[in-house]
Amino acid sequence: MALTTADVLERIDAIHKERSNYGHPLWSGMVDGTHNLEQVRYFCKQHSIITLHNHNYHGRLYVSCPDPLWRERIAEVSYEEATGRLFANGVSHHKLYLNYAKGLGLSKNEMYSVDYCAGALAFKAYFSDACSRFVEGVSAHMLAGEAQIPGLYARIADRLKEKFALEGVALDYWYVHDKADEDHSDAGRELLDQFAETDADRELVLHTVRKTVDVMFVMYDNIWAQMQTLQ
Amino acid sequence: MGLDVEKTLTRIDEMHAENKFWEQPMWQGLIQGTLSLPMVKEFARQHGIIPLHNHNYHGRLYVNCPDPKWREMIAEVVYEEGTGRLYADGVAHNELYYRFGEGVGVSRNEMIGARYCPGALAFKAYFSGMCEKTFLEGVSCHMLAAEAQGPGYFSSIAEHLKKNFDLSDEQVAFWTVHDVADEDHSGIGRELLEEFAHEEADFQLVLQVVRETIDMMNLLTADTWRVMQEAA
Repeated sequence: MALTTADVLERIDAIHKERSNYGHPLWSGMVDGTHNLEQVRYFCKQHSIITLHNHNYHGRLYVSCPDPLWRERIAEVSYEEATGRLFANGVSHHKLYLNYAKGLGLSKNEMYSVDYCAGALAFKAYFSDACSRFVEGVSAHMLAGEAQIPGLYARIADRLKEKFALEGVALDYWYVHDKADEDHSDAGRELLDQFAETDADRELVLHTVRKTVDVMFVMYDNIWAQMQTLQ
Repeated sequence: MGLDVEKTLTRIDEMHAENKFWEQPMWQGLIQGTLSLPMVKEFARQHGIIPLHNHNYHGRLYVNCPDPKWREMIAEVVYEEGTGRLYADGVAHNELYYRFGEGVGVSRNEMIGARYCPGALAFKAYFSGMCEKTFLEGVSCHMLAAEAQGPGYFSSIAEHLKKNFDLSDEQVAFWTVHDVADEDHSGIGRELLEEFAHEEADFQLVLQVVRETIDMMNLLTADTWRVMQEAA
């Protein structure tokens, strides 16, 4: 029986429920405030494989996008991430992240010379590659990667404030993204209706979401393993 | 004698001056308004290889840019081209180009399904490839070579399109917007060289890329002119 858009979105929800970020000790520790400063610093450095390398992902989506209307949307995301002029008071997103790192006592130089763990490098390689093909790229990016952020990041920001006395610009990265990635279900619906017409296309979307979540968990496991040695 | 920023920029200016693209029959015909409508239609189809495929070029530059400050600048270009919200009253650049096409009687479907001449296909392959190389090579190719040709002449093309074929301001906006948008890249050239070109080999590479890109653009122009003449 053919998969409808609603079927696919329902299955995507099920994938996220089955492996939610909050279910991983790396993220639950951030939300519950159980990590020590050294652990949070380590996570901050490793997580920059996303935030300081974002142009590798959104940029490739822009290149591979076959549709002008979707390109308009992705151009907006790239512009926001590089300049912050739409939603972040003109502070580019890499700068938001460097401000967070600074709040934890990490310098710009340290952030630009991180020795990334294999899981983080694997994620970058996988994600960059997926973003080079539009349907897979949007599936990996919007339906998998960013889907679990809203709600989670604001709680992390609140905890960082409470536990490590971070405030102001040091927390903006978390609050801005809690809003910016708020609801991608519309994007998912549009993507499926416009670009995934056959069962094979829809299976590809589901496969990509599943695979992306798997790769993200490989990265989380790898980072968490190292964090545990920093007791 | 060794190259430095000043000598390299002077040499680039000389290359453009020597090339005199405005004297090539295709550009001269557009600038002076001497081409027939079928020729302009064919030009519109073939030249679409640049504005309708622009994400392949600027997008790759954005991906390969190692520096946040430069990424900010390129993201601006990407945003403008994808949305037109900075300089084109919210009209994306592909839409500006479609309007030009419609003004001369080429439908959107014809533009999308254009049978590109080999020169156009070769240009796209070369240009995409260069924008994917090192950032120094990509920007040299894009901003110091390709975009340096045109500004100052595009308004004249727009005027003749209006006069000869009754195009509206909206339909020539692609030309008027780009006459300003690509206006002055000499400042960018200086910044690029000061930041990314440190050795003689870097300066030589920049000159080689600019020379090659000018050659590729001439190939695109020559082949486009060939099919325009067949369409006449």
